[in-house]
Amino acid sequence: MAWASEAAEVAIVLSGRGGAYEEVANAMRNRLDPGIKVSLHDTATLGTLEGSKPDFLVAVGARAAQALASQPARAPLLVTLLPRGAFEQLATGRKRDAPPMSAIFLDQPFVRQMTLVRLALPKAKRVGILLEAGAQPHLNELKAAAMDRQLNIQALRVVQEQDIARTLQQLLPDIDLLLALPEPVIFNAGTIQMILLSAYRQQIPLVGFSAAYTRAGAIVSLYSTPQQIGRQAGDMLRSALSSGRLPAPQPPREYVVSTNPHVARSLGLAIESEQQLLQRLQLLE
Amino acid sequence: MNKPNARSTRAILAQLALCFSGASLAQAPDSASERDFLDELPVVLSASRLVQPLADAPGAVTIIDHELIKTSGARELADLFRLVPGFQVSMAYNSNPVVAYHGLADEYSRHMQVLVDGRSAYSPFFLGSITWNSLRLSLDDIERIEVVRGSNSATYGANAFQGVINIITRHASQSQGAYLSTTHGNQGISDQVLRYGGAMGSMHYRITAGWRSDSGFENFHDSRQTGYVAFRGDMRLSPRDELQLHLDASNDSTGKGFEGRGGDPIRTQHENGYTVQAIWKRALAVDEELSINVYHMRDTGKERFTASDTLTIPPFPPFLLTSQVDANRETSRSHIELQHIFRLDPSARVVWGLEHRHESVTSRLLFNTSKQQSISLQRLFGNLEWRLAPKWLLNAGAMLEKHSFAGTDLAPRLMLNFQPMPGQTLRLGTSTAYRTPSLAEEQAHIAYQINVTPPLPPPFPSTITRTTYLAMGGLKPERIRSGELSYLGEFPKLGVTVDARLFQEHVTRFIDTKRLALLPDRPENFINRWSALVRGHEYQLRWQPSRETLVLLNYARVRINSEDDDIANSAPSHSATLFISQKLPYGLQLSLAHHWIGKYEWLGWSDPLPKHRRLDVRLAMPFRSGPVKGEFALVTQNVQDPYSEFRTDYVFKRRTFATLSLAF
Repeated sequence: MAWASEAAEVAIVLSGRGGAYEEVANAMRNRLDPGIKVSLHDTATLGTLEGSKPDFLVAVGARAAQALASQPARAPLLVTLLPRGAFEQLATGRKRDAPPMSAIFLDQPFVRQMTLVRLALPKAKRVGILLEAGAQPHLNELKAAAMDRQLNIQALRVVQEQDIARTLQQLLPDIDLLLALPEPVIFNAGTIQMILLSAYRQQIPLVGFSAAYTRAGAIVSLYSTPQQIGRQAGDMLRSALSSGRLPAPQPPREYVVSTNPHVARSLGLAIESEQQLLQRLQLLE
Repeated sequence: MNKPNARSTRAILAQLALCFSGASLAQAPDSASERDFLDELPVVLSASRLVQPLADAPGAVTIIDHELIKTSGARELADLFRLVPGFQVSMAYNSNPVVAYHGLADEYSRHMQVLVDGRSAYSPFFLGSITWNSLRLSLDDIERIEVVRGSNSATYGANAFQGVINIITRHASQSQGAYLSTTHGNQGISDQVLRYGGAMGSMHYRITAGWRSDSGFENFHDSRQTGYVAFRGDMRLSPRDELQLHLDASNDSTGKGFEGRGGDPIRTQHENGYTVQAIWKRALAVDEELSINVYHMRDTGKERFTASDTLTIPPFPPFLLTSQVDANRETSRSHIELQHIFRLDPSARVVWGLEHRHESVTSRLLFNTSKQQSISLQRLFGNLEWRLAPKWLLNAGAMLEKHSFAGTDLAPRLMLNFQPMPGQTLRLGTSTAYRTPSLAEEQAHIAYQINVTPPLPPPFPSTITRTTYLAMGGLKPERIRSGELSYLGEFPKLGVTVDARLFQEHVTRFIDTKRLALLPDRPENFINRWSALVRGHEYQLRWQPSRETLVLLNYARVRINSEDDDIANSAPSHSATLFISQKLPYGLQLSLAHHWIGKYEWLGWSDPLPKHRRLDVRLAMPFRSGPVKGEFALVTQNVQDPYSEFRTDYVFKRRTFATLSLAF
C-alpha cells in the first residue's frame, strides 16, 4: 500500500494506437486503483517517457516490448500481448543486472490446448503439427502435455517455405487433427487457404488459436481476448504495486473457446457448444 | 476539437493498415508476434465451399472424389458415371459420349444438368445436349463431382430434370507446381496433360493444357482430337472477398460420316470455343455469403460438305443428286447470377438467387437462315433448409423461370429428412421440374437444296428443295413429377455408407419428332408427344474398411411404362456395378470395376443392345525420385468379351492404355 499512497506511477507503452492495444490498456486501467497515475505512450512517441520515473513499465505487444527491453532500464517491466517465444527471445537478450521483467503470453498452455482437444474431438488420438525449421524449445513440453491427455503428437518439419504444401500432404494421412501453432512462416494469411482446403479435403479438422481461425474454417479455437489479457495485467500490477515484486511470467488466465459448428457438421463431427466446452475445460483445469 | 478527429483518423488508418497486412500474402514475418493472434484471416471454408453432409442433403447424392477419379481408371469424364447407380453411359454417333439416368435419352441426352464450376455445360446448339468432348477439363483438375440423383430444379435450374452432375475443380492453391502426364494405348489413344500452378501476389493460378485423341470405334470414321487450355485463378481481395477467374479455350476435330453413304459422307468437323468466367464471393459471416457468377461462352463449328445420292427413274440413266450442306454454326451463352446464402435463425438456412441468361445460335442448316436465333431466360430460385426439430430437417425450395418462348414455370421441391438416431436418415420428397425446349426443337427448319445432274427434263426444276425438319413451335416444357423415399445409413465404425432409394418419376409432354404427313416432304416436327412413368429402386453401398481398401456396390432396378415402346425399353431393367480398389505392398494400387447391364436400347439412332458385362482393371505404381513424384498406371477397359455400345456395330473391344504422370 505504501507504493500506492505515494501516488505510484505506471507507464504503458503500446505497440500501436487503437484496436487490441488500447483494449488491453483500458482493461488494465480499470483494474487499477484510481489513485495510481497511469501514462499512455506508444512506440512512435517513446520520447515522451524521457524524464518520467514510473514504478512499473508495461509493454503491450511485441514491438513495445522490444523497444522497452532494449532501452536503458529504468523500472521493472511487464510485457503483455505477445507470444511466449517473443518474450523468451527478449529475456535471453536482456542484461543480467537489468530490472526484473515478467510477462503474460498470448499462447495458451499446452496442457489446456490438449485438454480442449480431448473435450472437443474425443475420438481424435493423433495431433499433427507443422514445425518451422530451427530449434523447437517447446516441442517436448507439447509432447508431454499430449501424452498426459492420451494424445500423440505427429510433427513434421517444414525445411523450406515452399515445402509447406508437400509436408502437409505427408502429414495429413497420419493424423486426426491439425493443430495450428503461431509460426508465421507456416501459418499466415497467405498459406491458411491452402492449409485449410488440404486438410478439409482429407476430412481433417484444424484447431486454431484465434477467433480469425474459427472464422476461416478451424473447427475450434482457444484464445484470450485483449480485454482478458488486460484484466490479468491489471491484477498482476496490483499485486506488484502492493508487494513491490512482479509475479513470474504466466500464460493467460482467462480464455475463450470458439467453435465453427458448420465446419463440424460438414466434417460429420458432433461438437459441443462453445459454452459447454469452456465450462468443461475450466472444470478440468 | 481537432485533436480527437486527428486521433480517430489515425486509428482508422492503423486499422486499415492492419486489415491489409492481414490480407496481403507472401509477406510473413519471420518471428511470431501478437499479429498472429489478432489479425484477420481469409474466410476459407465459406458457406458455399462447405460440403453438405449426406444426411442433410435433400435427396440421394453420389460423390465422386479426387481419389476415386484417379483410381477408377477413367480416361474421360463420362466413364466416371458408370460408377453411379441408375446411370447409362455409351459412346454414340461421332464419338460423343452420352450419359443418361433412368433412360429416356438418345444420342443427344439432355435431361440432366451438368455444371462445371457453376457454368452450365449445355450446348445451346441443336437439341441442347452435353458435348462432353468439348469440356476443357483434365480429370486431375477435378476436386469432386456431386451427382444428384433425381430432379432438383429448385437449386440447379431448368435442365436439372432427372439429375445433376456438379463438377467442382480444385482451388488453384491445391494444384501448385508442375504436373505432366502422358497416356498411350490402342485405338489410337494418345492423351497429354501439362499443368503449372503458381502464385502471383495474392493470386494462386494454374494453367492446364491438354491434348486428347483416339481413333474411335474400329471400322468407323469417328476419330477425335481435342486440344484445350484452361486457366483458373483464385484471388484474395480481402479476408472476406475472393475472386475466381476461369479462362479456357479448345479446338476439336471429329470424324463424321460413313463409308459408302453419300447422304452422310466421310468428313471432319472442326469446333472451337472459349469461356470467360468470374465468380466473386463475399463471406458476410461464418454462414452467410453473397456471390456473383458471370460467364460468357462462345463456340463455333465448321462443317461443310457435299451430300450426294443417285436417283434412278427407268428408262433414264441414273441422276446424281447433290447438295451443298452448310453445317457451320456459332453458339453463345451469357449468364449472370447472384446468390445469397444466409441463416434466418439457428435452425433455418436460406439459399436464394437470381439469374439472367441469354443464348444464341446461328446455323444456316438448322434454321434455314443465317440470322441469329436467340432466347433469354430469367430465374428466381430459393431453398429453405429448416431444422424443425433435432431429428427433422425440411428442405423446401422452388424455382420460378421465365423463358422467352416457353413462358413461365414454377418448379417446387420438398424433401423431409428424418434422423431417428445419428447415422440413420430417412428421406421423403416430392418435386416438379421442367425441361425447356431447345431453340431447334422450337424453330428448326432444315431444308436441302438438291441439284440434279443431268438436269431433269422440263417441266421439272433443276434444283429441288427437300425439307426434313420443320418445327411448328408452340412446345410446352417437358415436365417431370417425382417422388422418392430413401434411406441413408452411415456406420462410421464399419466404414460403411448405404443409400437405398425408391423412386417414381412421371414424365409428361416428352418431346419427340412426328412427321407432318400433309406437307410434301413429310418433314419432322417436334411435338409434346409422350409420357412415361419411371419406377424403381436403386442402392449404393460404400465400404471403406481402411485407407487401403474401398468397395462400391451399386444396383438399380428401373421399369418404364410408356405408350411408346422405345421409351419403355430405354433403360436397362437391371444394372449393377462392383468396384474394388486395394492398395498393395510397395505402394501398388489395384482397382477393378465390374459392370453388369441388362438389355436396353437408347432412343434415336440406337439398336437394341443385349445384356452385357464389362470389367475394367487398373494397376498403378507410384514412385519418387528426389523432388519428383510420379505414377505409372496401366488400365485395361473391358478385359472380357467385346460388347456393343449404342449401336450393334459400335463394338467396344478391349482397350488398354498406360499413363505416366509426374509432379514436381
